[in-house]
Amino acid sequence: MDTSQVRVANLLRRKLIPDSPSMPEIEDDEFGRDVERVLELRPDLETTVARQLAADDISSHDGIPAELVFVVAAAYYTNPRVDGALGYSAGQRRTAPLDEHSTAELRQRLSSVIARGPLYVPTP
Amino acid sequence: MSDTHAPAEENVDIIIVGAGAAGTAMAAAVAGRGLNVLCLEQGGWIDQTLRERSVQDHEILGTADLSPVSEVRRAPADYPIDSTESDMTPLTWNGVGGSVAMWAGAAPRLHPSDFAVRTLDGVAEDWPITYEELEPYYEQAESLLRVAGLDGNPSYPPRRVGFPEPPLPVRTIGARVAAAHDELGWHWWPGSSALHGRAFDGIHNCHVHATCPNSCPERQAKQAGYVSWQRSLSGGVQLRTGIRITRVVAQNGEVSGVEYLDRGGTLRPVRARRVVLAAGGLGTPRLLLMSATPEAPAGLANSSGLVGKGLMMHPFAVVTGYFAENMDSQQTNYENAITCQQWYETDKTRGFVRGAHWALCSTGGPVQTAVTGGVWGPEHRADFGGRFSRGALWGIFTDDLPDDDNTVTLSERTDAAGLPGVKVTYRIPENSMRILEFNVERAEESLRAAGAVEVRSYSPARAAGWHLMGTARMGSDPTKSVVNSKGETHDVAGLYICDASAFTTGGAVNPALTVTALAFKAADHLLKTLEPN
Repeated sequence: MDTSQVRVANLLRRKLIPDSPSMPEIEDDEFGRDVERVLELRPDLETTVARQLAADDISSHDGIPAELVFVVAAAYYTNPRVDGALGYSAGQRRTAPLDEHSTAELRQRLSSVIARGPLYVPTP
Repeated sequence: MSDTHAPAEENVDIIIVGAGAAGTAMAAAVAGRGLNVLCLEQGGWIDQTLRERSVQDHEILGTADLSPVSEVRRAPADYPIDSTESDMTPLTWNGVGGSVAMWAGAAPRLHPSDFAVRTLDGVAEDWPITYEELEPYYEQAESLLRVAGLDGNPSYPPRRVGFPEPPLPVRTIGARVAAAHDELGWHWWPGSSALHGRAFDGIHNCHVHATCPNSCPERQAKQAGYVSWQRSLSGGVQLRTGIRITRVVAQNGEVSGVEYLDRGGTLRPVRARRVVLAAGGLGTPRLLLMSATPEAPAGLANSSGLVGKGLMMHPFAVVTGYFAENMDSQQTNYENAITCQQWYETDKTRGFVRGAHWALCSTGGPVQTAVTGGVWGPEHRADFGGRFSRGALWGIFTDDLPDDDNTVTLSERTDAAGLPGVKVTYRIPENSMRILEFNVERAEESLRAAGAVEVRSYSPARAAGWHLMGTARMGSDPTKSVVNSKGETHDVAGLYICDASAFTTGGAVNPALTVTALAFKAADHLLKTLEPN
């Protein structure tokens, strides 16, 4: 993207997703790279979005094409610093304790379900 | 793993068409027995470079190269699927693993009543087999997939053997909704799943990325199948990818092989003593219809006229509750935190027959949360913050019964090799709509009782055609069905169908485990009829 398109992309970002003091401040160049990364993954949108970013008409967010909204939102929310601030960090490997104790605890929690008896209809 | 190369002329014992869930199980069942087995797959191995992209990228790739909608991803291996006259969009994946590549791991069995809906409810037809007859093969399927679960579920008969793996944690949203169901006196149970909570045999545990529908970056849920393929290949099964079957060949009522186009477009015949179709609810009828001859002008194995008819898709609804506090939704297994089968069985006072299966799901990552919210500008932060990680979603799968007006037919649009695509015509049956309406209301009650401050419902969901069933159905009467109880076609000896197209009725649960069980059952019969050369 050229500097004008990066500028428009950032204007759009701030219009769609206003800055927040609780979230990381994203530099314009950084966000430009985020948009390029999204378009690398969605090459089908590249031509359309490049044309839209060149149009420079973002006066109303209601009129912003859906594919441009998607690209801006995807670029912002997959920015690693935004992702980290949200606590999503999907790259993290989360595990939960899984042992005989947790299974026994689960079975205990199900005692009232079991007590209500069978729900299935047997083979006629 | 490298594919085998085709010799000029081939003669094998068994051809398996398709390397998805059914083909994987069939290959596992016939490997290592001294038989010459060839599996032909239209797609390839899923691109590992795509799979290993960051998990955040999966939220984007799911709208493109990893989309389950073939018309979106437009991969070279895909054939056109015209769903303009369908209430639901069929979701598929052509490649090793098949649609399991997009599977969230749900691995429940059908219920005993699902096999007897004519007898019990006066609708459709009974399967020619019972739950009890399929149970040994369910056990094989659960062993292959190393299914995790907890026995004692009162919505099923007692199991003969326990689950191979312990259940996954129910996590925050599961515990919250389960407590509400206890107050309401409603059923809940941890879902049985091909995701694993612990590592074993070189297969690691689920790391809860919650990107299942866009392909797991770590191949979780599909790992057992992947390991199975490694074993099958070691056991002598040949796997050839990137080919296109042009027709199944039969002579004098007996199957004799297939013809296919190799990667270079050269037509290659392969003779076989047995042919197993495992190409899925769209692909299998497509091949049978493409194999029409002057002797079988309506398509191979289609004397009943039912090939491609009776498509079932499990009409689906989404009911999402948002809570005032963090529910760690994005750190929850994508599907099956808990399940509910309170309304699975028929109660005719409700105004419909059969019922629904509910699966409690996470509400996705930040991109999905933002885009599905659709609130932008000054209100965006509040809307996003009120929903991200605070949701619990009931996915409601309804029982689907065959309607012969719901069809898969050949279309005029063609794939890259000039072979016909398919046209899907599907209208959600009235009975299924009533099931949806009833269950959506109950699911809204469920989430409100759990404390949701906002509940949103979406029913019926269009882009939810994961389960494609019934287009070459099983039965005892050759005039009312395509295959017999063994999975062999009535018309053509030695031609087997072992994917979801053989389902007589749909039940309401994910069909992957039943597909796998049917493949093992068909293999059992096939092997008895086929001694090694």
